[in-house]
Amino acid sequence: MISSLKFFWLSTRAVEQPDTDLQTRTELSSGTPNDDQGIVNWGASMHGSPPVFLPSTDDVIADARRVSRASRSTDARRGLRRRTPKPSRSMLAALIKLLLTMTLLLSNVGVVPTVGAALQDDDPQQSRAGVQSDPGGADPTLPRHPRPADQVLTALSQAPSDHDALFTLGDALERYWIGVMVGSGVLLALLALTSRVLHLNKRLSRANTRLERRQQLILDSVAEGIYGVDLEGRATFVNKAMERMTGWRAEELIGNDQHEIIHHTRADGEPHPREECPVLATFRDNVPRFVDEDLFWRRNASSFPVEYSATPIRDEIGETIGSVVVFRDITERRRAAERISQHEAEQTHFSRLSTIGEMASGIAHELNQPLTAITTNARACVRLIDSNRADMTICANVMTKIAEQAERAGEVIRHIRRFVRKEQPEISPVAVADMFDTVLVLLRQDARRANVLLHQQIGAGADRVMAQRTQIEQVLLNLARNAVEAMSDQPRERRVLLVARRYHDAVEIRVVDTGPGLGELSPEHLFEAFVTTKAQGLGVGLSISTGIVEAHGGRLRVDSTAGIGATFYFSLPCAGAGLDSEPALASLEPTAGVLSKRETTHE
Amino acid sequence: MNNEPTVFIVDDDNEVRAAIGLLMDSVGLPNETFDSAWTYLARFDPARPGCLILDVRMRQMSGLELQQRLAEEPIHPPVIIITGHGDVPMAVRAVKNGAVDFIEKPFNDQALLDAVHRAIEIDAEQRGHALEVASVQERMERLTKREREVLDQIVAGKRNKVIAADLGISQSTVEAHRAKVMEKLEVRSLSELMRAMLMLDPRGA
Repeated sequence: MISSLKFFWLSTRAVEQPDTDLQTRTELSSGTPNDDQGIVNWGASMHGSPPVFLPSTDDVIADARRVSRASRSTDARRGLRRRTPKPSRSMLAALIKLLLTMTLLLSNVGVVPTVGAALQDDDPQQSRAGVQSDPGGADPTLPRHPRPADQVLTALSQAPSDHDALFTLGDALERYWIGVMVGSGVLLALLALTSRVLHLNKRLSRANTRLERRQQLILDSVAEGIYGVDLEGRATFVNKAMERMTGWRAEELIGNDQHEIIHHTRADGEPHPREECPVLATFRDNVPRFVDEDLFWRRNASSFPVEYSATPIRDEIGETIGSVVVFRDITERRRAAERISQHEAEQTHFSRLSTIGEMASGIAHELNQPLTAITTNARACVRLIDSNRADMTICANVMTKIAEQAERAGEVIRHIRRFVRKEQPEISPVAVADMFDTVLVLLRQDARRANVLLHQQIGAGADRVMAQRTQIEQVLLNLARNAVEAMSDQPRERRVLLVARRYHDAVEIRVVDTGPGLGELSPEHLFEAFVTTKAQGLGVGLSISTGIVEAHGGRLRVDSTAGIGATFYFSLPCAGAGLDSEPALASLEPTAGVLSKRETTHE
Repeated sequence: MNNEPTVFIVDDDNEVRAAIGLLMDSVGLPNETFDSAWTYLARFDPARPGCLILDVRMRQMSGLELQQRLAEEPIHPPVIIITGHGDVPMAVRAVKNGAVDFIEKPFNDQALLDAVHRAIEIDAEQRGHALEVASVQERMERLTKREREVLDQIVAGKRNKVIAADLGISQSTVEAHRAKVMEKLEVRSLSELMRAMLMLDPRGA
């Protein structure tokens, strides 16, 4: 292949030299096409063999042309020039060389000699220098075969390719058909490959688009709002449900800080600091979160309650790149919960009313006592005055008694009013003694009638609890009334004891009776609604009590021993011990016992 | 021994008890107060006249129970029951058991005083009657067996002749016994004798 290339090179050279003198021509023709020496000889004749010939005008002209052509086709030559001096042995290089040559041939059929000349001229500079220094001592300005100037001019005015239509495409094909075939084959293969790649690329991008669309479809058909955030907290995608719920359009959300848009303020109106945003925290510590109550803001500056989960998103190499949030509007659920709790509140209120109703007789009696004392005292006092036996000291005493009894009646009414009030105060610190008082006041007459003694004992440090006062009073009254009723038929001692004792951070409240115990009633059924042993009772007392205690975070339990009595008990959180000095004093008296600090008996 | 009628007040409510006491004081009625049925029973003296104001609703022993206990005694002060609101069934029971009155709390002072006065009168009557019975019984003790037999025949409405035949004695002897009975029982006529006998046995012979 290399030799054929050289052959090609030589022949072009020959073709290109139509106007050189005969000697040169002869010398050229004397070299066989396959003889490398031919080139050397020729080269020597060009550069270093002055005795052979001096350049004629024609030579000069040809050289000049060569120079101009060479400079014109520098770009084309450069690649070849790099390879020509040290032809690569690799097939590929040769193939590429051939292909390029062919390309030139095909594109420039008429100027094949030009290429030949270019190929022959290794260095235009050098060749120019060669031309100028060629004579090797002789004066170059003096041609050996002077020609008239007009001949020179004519020669110059001729187009460089005037005589070049000698090597045609047909010739080229004839000579280099193998190369052409191979080249075409390679080209075709490349073409096929390219089109195949293009086709595959198109399929890939179609599949990608389909996948993305499907993803978006899935995202959009989900009822929950879904959005992703990057590590800066900017939304990376959102779904339709989120647009619908928040009122923001996807393009308004994507790329913007989600926290500032939908999560900026808390339910209480306080700003929600970024550092506390669970969504942002998720990709910081890489822990998925579930938030069951939070607030998102709509475009119209209204808000809605949400629950959401935030999960970190990891890329292929496991690096966290953000998080995805799935949220749900819980307005409806919360409304339902509110309705339920409202119904429960109504139920407990109804239960309190009915309790008071059932106790009306006893409570009326409890009011009648002070009223009786008041009227009787007042009348007696008037009679004393009328009969002139009144003594100022006696009258003052009687008036004091009247005032005290009026206060006593007022106290009863206050207890009742607070007990039947519908709206409920929040859970707050309450004195245990106050709650016990309510029970003792409201139940006193019924206990009196049933011949039951009511006691209370409040241990050290157990004097204040966190409670919703009325509701705990309701529980205590329920339990104490049950106890009183349970004992109404027994001949044994009848006592009901309300006890408060401190256990660590809690205060245990006990309602102890000396009744017959629970009998066959199993404790599991005891707390269910509509389970009752009484002729006229709905059986809701204990179930409501259970609900109230549970709302305070406790559990209503019962211990019962047949023939000894039953104890119902539950715990309430202690309200900061040391609110007053009483518990501290009590703790200084170890012998006094836990229960003896505050013990009163109501008879 | 103090024979002035006394108002006994039993109520376990200190204030009410004291107020009733003061009311009695204001009209000059001697009174004593007791905080439970037991304390009253412990100091019960059937000989003391007066009346009893009793609260129906009391711990340990209710007014009704105390009333029942007193009924077993031959003589006791009449009972005025004080009831609370809605204790009407209890009041009815109390009246059936012999209470002279029942008053609902809070009561009118005059109503209570009227009831107290009435009760004291009743007590006086009861006590007077009881005294008569006691004296008749005492006189009856003086009769001999034969005189008692003749008395029974007289109360049965038999004439002397029939009595003489029944007892197998002479008619003059019957007349002598009859005069002795009248004398011993301190009655001047047959009708007086009959009344004394009825007092002993209200069901009548």
